[in-house]
Amino acid sequence: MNGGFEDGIQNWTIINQSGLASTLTASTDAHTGSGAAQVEVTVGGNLVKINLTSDPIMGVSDTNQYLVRAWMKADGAGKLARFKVLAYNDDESVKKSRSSDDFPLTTDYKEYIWIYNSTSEATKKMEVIIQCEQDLGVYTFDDVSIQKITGIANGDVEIPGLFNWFLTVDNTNGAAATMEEETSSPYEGNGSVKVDVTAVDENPASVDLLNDTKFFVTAGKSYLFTFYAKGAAEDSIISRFSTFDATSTYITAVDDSFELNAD
Amino acid sequence: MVYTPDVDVSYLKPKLLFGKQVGTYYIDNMMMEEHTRPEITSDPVTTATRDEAYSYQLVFNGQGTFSVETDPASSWLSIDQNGLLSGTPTTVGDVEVTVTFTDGYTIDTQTFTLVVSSPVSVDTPGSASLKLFPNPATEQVFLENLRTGQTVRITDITGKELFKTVATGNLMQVETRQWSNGIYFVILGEHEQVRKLVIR
Repeated sequence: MNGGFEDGIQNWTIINQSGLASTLTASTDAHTGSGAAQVEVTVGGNLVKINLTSDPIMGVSDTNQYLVRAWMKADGAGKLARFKVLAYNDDESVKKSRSSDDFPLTTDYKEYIWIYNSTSEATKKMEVIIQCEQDLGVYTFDDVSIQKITGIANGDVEIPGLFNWFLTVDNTNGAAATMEEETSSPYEGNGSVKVDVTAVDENPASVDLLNDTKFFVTAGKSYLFTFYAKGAAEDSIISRFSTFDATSTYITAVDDSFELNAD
Repeated sequence: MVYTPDVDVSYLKPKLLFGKQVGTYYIDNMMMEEHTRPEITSDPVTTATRDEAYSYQLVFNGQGTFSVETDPASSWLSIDQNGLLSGTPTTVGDVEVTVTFTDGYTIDTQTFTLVVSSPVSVDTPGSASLKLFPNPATEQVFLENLRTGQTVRITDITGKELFKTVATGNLMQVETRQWSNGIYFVILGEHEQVRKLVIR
């Protein structure tokens, strides 16, 4: 898809709609490599209408998750951009269109990440779209990628900022905990999740660390769930799978318990 | 943890619950992947002959390591990591064999009784062939073609000796009504001839 724009703006097109105007040019203001893409919005006013669109990505399978990533910046802090993915049917009609939340950009390159859930059947291809903000200005993009998530998104905690990890603390009965990114002693790579539990109640689920991955499964197959953890000796944690049906209706929880040690 | 979804499950979300103990926890490298459970799919080879090589190639799914235990403990039986169970038994009798196949997460075992018999039809050239009748026998069995002075022994399948005498003629009658149903061996001399006898 030429997401690094090392081949100029090949595979990408700008689509202006509803009277908006912008231009797409190749840029050397790159995050990595030597190429980037620059969009200059000359007539703005509608967030969703100026699209920097990749050529279709073929061979997409259904019922999967995709990690959409890009490094982006704008010529003014707070100007908005977002991701959008179009999934197509075999007959080229759009099966599904989904967008991320708005990202307020900064004037320096920063990575933005979004998980796209593909649950449409018979998806033939996808397009990645970056939608620029309604304000006039210059937006620069580099290192755009879409990647199928084969396991647990950011399970290795290598995407900075604890992307896709969420800590929920039910403090009704006094439980208290915090989460932070730990880089000094990961099991592997550069990051790990540190959960500091300072008060508990009788309910193990009162401190709940979620990786917000939808892991799609097939009946009749088995799946191996692993993670590395350390804590005080004889501490234990419970792993829980919250299971859902095809309509995203919660079914049940599947629990297992693990004893920890300090390594 | 190995998880096998019910038929109505489309997807899951993984969580860790920390609400049991105060403390500091570190989590890294959380992974989920399709997993083939180690599974032994073949039927065992359950008979062997003393002093003859025994082998049973297990057919299996998945990956893992094999190990074998026997009761009574036997040093002659071993298994390699390709699932080949082999060895040469040195004594007759039943051996309870348990093969374990594990990938560290799930275990499959196969347990069977390996019956080790004495070599049969070991005839000394020139001697008349020992005949047993009736065989299977119930209350008695006749042994024919004995030589006077020849040692006659009958053992059960474990090698335990139930009968021993010296032949005084060509024909001998042995009472078997007190013996349990099963396989026995009639041994002439020092394994000059061995015949399998079945008691019902």
